[in-house]
Amino acid sequence: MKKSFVILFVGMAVIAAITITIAAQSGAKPVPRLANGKPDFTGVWDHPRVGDVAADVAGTCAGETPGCSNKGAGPLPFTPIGKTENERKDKFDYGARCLPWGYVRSYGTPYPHAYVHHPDRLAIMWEQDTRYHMVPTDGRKLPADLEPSWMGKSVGHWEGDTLVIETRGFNGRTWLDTAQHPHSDQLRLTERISRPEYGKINYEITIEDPKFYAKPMKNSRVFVLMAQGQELFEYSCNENNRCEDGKCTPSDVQK
Amino acid sequence: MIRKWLALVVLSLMVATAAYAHHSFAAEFDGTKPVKVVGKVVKVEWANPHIWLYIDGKDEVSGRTAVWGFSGGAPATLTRRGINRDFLKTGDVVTMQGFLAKDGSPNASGGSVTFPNGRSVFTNSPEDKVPGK
Repeated sequence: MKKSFVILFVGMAVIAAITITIAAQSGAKPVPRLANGKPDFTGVWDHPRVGDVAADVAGTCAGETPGCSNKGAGPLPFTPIGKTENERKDKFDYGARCLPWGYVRSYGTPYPHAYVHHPDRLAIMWEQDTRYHMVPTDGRKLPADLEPSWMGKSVGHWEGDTLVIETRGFNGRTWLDTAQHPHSDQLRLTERISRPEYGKINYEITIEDPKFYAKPMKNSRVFVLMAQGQELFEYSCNENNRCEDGKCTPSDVQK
Repeated sequence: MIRKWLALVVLSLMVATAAYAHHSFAAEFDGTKPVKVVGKVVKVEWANPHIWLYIDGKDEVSGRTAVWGFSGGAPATLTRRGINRDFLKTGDVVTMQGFLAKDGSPNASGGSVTFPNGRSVFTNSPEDKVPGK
């Protein structure tokens, strides 16, 4: 009895050692999990620079990490009123005046973002403008009547290991991207976020705006976990903003 | 050290395409009007949304002499690239290349700094228009 126990114990130890060795050799870190068992997205993530939601991007991320991509929406399906808005020559360049970039555009900025994840909420932090956004995932619903805002209001729920975020309540004053594609206050977003590997996030966003676009538009992106030790920097847009609309303010040394 | 800088410059050039930065490059600078100023560094503003470098010197393209302001990338972008706030000091003699501001003032996008020893540093956002391209 005692002998068979020893054999069983040694056998289990050998299996455990082999398992650990294989895991170490493959180098595959497991995807971390939240206390509720769902994938934990916490980390500093490099995203593709998406200056135009219509276009594909492949290769270097905004923060110059390799491996990001975006499958763009292709030609944008403007409604007549959306087309008129898009072709206006007197668009107000709100970003050049350090106003909030807006939700969709924040994810395409030339700087990374971070997630801090909790079972009840996802905190998104964009380096651009040092801006944050909270996504409750505690089962609450979006109110029917939302106060219009620059970044909208979000709620999230899980479908398997994919976090689905719905966002609306926009003020219509931002653009979808730096290519100045407009959206109205009817904008509704659905994002699907998953972490299939330790170092990778799959991010899909469906953009619906029946006022300006005849059909929903989709972007599929890959985010890459930044190297250990990389953190977000402070970004204070108003600090030294000098040439908006091509009219440069002379600095003290130039006066 | 020089190899490291060269690698950074080459990397920067590889990822550079004329597109958009904090706001549109095209809204502020004229990509058809290059400037190449040789002079002394008067001031470095290591600040968001773009660093500004001021060079007292002459533009070799137009012959115009002024205190020129050059707009570079964001401090975060440059720090991640290994360039910190001390890379240029007041009094350094450099050659600075970029594109003239649309309003014609002595300001430009700041694409690259070349030191007297030939070392060259790309200072702009990765996607801004690169001088000589």
